[in-house]
Amino acid sequence: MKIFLLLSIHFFISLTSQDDRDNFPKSFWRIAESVWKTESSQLTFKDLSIFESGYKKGVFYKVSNNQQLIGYLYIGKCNTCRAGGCKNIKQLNFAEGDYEYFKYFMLLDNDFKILQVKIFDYQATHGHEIMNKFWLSKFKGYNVSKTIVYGKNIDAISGATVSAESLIFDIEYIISLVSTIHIN
Amino acid sequence: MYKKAIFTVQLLLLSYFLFAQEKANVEANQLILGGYGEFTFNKKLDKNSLAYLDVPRFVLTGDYSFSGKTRLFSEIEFEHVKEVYVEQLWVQHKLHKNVNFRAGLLLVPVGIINEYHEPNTFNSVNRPLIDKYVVPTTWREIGAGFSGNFASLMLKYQVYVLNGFNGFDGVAHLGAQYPLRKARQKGAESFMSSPNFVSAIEFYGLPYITIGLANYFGKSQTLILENSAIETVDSSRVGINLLSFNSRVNIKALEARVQVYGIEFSNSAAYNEFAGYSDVDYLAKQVFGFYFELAYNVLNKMEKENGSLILFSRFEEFDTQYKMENDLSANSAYHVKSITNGLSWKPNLKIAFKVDIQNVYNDANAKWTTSLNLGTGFSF
Repeated sequence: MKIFLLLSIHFFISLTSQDDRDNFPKSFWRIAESVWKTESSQLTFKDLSIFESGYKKGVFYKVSNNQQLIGYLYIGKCNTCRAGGCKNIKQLNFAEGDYEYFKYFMLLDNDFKILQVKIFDYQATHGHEIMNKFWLSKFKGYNVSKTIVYGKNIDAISGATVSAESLIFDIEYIISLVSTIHIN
Repeated sequence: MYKKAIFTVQLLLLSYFLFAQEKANVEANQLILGGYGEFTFNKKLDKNSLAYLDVPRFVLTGDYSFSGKTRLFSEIEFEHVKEVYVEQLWVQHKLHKNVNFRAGLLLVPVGIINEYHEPNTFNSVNRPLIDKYVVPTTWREIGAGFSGNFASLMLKYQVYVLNGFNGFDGVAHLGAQYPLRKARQKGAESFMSSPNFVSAIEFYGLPYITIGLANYFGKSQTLILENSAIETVDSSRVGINLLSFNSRVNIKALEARVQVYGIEFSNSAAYNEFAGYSDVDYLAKQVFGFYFELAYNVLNKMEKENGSLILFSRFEEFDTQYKMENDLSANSAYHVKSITNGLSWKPNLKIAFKVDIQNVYNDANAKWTTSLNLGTGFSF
């Protein structure tokens, strides 16, 4: 009976993660294969539900290859706005009506160190420059023990300050959260 | 009974629509207020000049989302404390991930400063000279078009049809010192005889570098109607073709900016004659202007709490009578060079305390004049 229950839970989880897979951006698969050096079909994703219920900004996954933990994935939304008039960049939740946002994903290794950050959807009038992959590559290697300082160890981008700060805030929040809670 | 049934159905329908309306908007009706402004002190460094103090602009912005797809953006501006303008007022609707439709009083997407003019985002107290004399910032007119972003190409674009410059409304407004500035209609009871077009792209896929290109073209607007003598109509307007190139480079503490403008006016000889101009007013056939700026943040190695202290130097050159039509003579006073050196202290990114020394040279005076400028710029 217990086995049956576990099996059905497992089945349910694999079903939901199967759904999630379909919604991953195309660019994710290419990057995942090159970063984790494996076929994308081998990878499995488990939503770790690390956020409080009602959190709408993103989902944090454990990534495994043949039952073996190989890292983590975060896919989320970030608020931004035009220069000036920004109240809600650092808001932790995301209202559906917000107009100015972008979506990104972040690959982490087993110790929550950043392997790669990519912005795959940008829906705001200003600040597109943060999608530049050379700029984003500067996030590589960061973990909870290092602070990211915009304009210092991450280059400033003229015209994209608000979006850049919003992304940094979000990344720091996610990494500090996953580093302080017990994840299994 | 029959009437009662209809009434009940109507009531149900009404309440359904009211409820549906409320549900659709429940998380959408969101107004974000903001603003920016600056105060300045300008003084020429000679004994015969006074100092001038001003609040060049104070702007309040309101950004309202009707839904996740539709929003209204507005800027209400106070210039020099007492003149009120609506500087931007447009509605945008998202049609597709990469395509937005936008209509209203729009900023013309030409050059860095016209779109990014919050005073804490540029060095120097006053805007670059070419953004006053060559391209008339803040340049805005009523129009409509499309904007969007192709993430995979690292490309942002804007394409609009919009109203053009007031070239003639009984008096000619295009000219020599300010080829375009005095002819802006700013969406205020503006008139149109033929539409103008602007397209702009910004490419941000290269390491450290952003590149912007823009083209604006069309005829200036005239109040003389088409059924008047054709020569008169044609003499009262000119063709305008403007090209803009800009690039911004950010590497560690170093920032470089380049901005180049070129404008070609067709039919300027006929226009000058029609307007009754003399050589100090002649509209040129070609106008050019550029600047190059280097800036260095000396606090880059320090902790964030110290903000940034930016040293900068900018060289500008422009000629609003660069080439003339029909051998008309150019006035050398309109060929100007300028060197601006200064610093901006930003305790945080939203505030800039600025000081600079600006040296300006024109060919007619053949000497440099120097001014001291102090200013504070902010956005919130």
